[in-house]
Amino acid sequence: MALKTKMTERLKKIIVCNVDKCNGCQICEFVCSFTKEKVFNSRKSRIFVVRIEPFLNLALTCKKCDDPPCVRACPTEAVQRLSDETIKIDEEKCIGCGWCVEACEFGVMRLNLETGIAFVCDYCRDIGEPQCVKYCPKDALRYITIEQAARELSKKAVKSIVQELLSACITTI
Amino acid sequence: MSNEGVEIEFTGPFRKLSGERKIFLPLEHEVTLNEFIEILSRKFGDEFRKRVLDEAGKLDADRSIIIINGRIVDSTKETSYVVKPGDTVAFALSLAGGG
Amino acid sequence: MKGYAGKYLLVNLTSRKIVSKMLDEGMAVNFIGGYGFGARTLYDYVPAGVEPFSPDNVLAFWTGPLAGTIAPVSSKYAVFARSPLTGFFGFGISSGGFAFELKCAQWDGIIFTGRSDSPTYLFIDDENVELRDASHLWGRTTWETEQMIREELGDDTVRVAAIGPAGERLVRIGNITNDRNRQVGRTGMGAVMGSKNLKAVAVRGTRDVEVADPDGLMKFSMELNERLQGPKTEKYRVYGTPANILIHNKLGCLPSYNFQRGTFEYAEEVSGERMLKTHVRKIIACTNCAIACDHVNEVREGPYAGTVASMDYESLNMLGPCCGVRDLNAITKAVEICDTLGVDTISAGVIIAWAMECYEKGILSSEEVDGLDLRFGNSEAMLEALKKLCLREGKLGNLLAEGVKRASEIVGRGSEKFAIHCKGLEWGAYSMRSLKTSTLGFAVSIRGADYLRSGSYQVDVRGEVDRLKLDYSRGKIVCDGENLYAIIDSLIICKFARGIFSSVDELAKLYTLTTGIEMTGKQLLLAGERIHNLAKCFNIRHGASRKDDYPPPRAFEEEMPDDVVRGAKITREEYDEALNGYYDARGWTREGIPTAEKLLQLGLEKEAEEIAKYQVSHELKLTGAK
Repeated sequence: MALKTKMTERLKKIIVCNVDKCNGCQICEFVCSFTKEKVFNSRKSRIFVVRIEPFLNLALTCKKCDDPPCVRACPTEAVQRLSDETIKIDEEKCIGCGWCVEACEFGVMRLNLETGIAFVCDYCRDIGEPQCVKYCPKDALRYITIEQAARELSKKAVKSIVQELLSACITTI
Repeated sequence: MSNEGVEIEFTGPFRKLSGERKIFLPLEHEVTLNEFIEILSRKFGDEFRKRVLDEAGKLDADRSIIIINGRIVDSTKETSYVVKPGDTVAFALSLAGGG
Repeated sequence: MKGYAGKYLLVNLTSRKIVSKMLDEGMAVNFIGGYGFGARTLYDYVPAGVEPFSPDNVLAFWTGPLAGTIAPVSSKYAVFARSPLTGFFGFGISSGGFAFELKCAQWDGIIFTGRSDSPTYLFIDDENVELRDASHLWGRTTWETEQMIREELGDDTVRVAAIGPAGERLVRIGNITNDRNRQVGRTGMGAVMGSKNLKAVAVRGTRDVEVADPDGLMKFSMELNERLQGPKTEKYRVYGTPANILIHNKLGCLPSYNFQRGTFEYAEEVSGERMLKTHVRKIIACTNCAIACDHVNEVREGPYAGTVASMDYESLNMLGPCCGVRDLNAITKAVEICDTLGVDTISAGVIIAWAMECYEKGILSSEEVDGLDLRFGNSEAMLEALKKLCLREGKLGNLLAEGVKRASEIVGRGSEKFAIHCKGLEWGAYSMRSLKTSTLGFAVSIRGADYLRSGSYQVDVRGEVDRLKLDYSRGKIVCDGENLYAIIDSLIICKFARGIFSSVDELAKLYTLTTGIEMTGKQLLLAGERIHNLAKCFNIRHGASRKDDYPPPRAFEEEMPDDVVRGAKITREEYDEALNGYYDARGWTREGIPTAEKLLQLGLEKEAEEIAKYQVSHELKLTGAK
């Protein structure tokens, strides 16, 4: 059983946002609200662009946590984790208490401002491919495994260290 | 060796492509602008060609502009231009308003 | 009628009465949005004799039908008032996320009239709209104001459009800032806002924006977003508009030393290429923009270390080469001062460059410039003068705060000859004598010296015409450019995307997919012509005529000293011929007044009746003069 969990973790694909490429355009929010609700309204998006002036921009959505706090927090079992690790909200059971919202470490669980029902990214389960990723104009968003994300980060870190070393060498010479 | 040739200035992406701000290209006789672009494309690679010409091999004012001796090349009349020894030529991204 | 919210706010700041008004479909179809709605508002609300700073002037915020939808580069709004700088049609366009938020709150626009007796700000929270006290915000910078309002309302997604201390103090080039780096820059709209004691407009919108054909719009928009990653927008995405510096320098059309020259010996030091390496820290996007052009600079060393400001070509050139300044750190600092205290960077640069020339020529004494060593190239003096201008400090500050036209009239002594403006609006970063089609476009613009009304520089810098000559045919080029740009500014979309549309029909397609109103490219262009004529009628009512459509004397009287364009200047004859060509293309009289015939053809009946009066009075004046 333990082994199986580890395998799944290794293969778990999530939406990753590259902070260097993300410029805060919010197109992912538009695409999401259109895909999920057929309207243009960023407040109905399941992905959220955070801008912290003056430089920081990052889009954030469900991280598919292991043993998700949102599921644990729900008193009515409306927030469920499916076998593909995405979260599903049973709208009949949701009482709009917002505990899942409070529990989410990333603030990506929200209540619909009109209906009061919880909603969260489902990775476009029915389409099979997250639409925000598909339409991100700068390819800042990607749908990859955590492993892959980590490998790329290592590569980037090494690159920048080598570059620093190189330029340091050149300056000393 | 002849010291005749053309002074070429690069701005924007052309700097990256050529790795230079300015070069001196030996040239002994007059060539058409298209021939001139071909010479540079062979020197700096296909990317250079793609920066200047569209898919049909025509000058594209939306991609870049070429300035010969301070005069801008009218991309609609590209065949009428020549480059000759002693000229200065500049390659730049096409111009755009700011703000 | 989708796309549009279908209603707008009428806010009387004197009585504090707030009314919701319906937007009628005729207005939508005939005037599109943005610029068109602004032209309608100014014409309908501001009769002759209403002074720009009077409570009777209006201040109108308008979005277009596309704002708030997925249509690319559409989160834009425009602000309109009779300009305190020109006395004519005043307006500026800004982007960021403000327009999108306003549309989500389900308002197409806001018209302010009157004057509040104490500092106030408007908070729009969907359908709940209230005027709130702004006494504690008065005197604060634009950035502080945005921050404080967000904290006060407990929501950092609230969008804020605010003025800085400059607008409060009626500095005539005062602007409006939203989302930190985006401005309604030109013609002093921030000063009008200040005259109304209106510090800010804050918006939170949570509603759906409905469009006629969501699937169609989505599909087309994603196709356009893809095109926006292509070569036509590369200059904006990678280098930003500062890429122009080296090219303009090469062509001898980079205004330096107050437009005395067209090249700058230190161009390389202030180039976009250099800036990208040493100053650009992050490139950010406006809401719903797939281009992302905003190059945010950070000063990393020296006395201005830590300064952060967003840099574009116009700001860079006017506060840099135009003032003889070559220090990118100081130029970034200057933009930060303009953005936080709230003035237009273009106008500010031209005004200071004029003061520098006055000082070097001995026209302004040391005492008159508050003891500053105001020589070209002195970046510290430039920054000091700029602060004084923004705050109306000292003799110099109060003089410069009036804008270059008034300042030069106050000083006199020949300084009017090199006050580089048209109709009172300071000239942008395109040399007058070495880009002549551009100059015609700047000078006939309804807003004053303005590169954004027709984009007429384009034919010059693309080599499609001889940029060192003017002739009759240039008039038509400017006229066509104006009609197209009127559409772009009414829809409103970003001009940086203009190259990706294969034809005006694609703009019409965007309009129809969004609104459900059938529209062809031809009809859109006709609307563009209608809008432009209406704006012109506003100017005529406020005294405009042919005399206002000329560039300043430097364009005619001095020859360019730079090698590449040596000797270039404009002759009166060639300019008059080109101006005639423009009026003829417009179907106006050679006095620059729309004919009744033209106005009727565009469906502007009541305007035709009013303008006929001015036609007669002009003829009388002309006869009288003879």
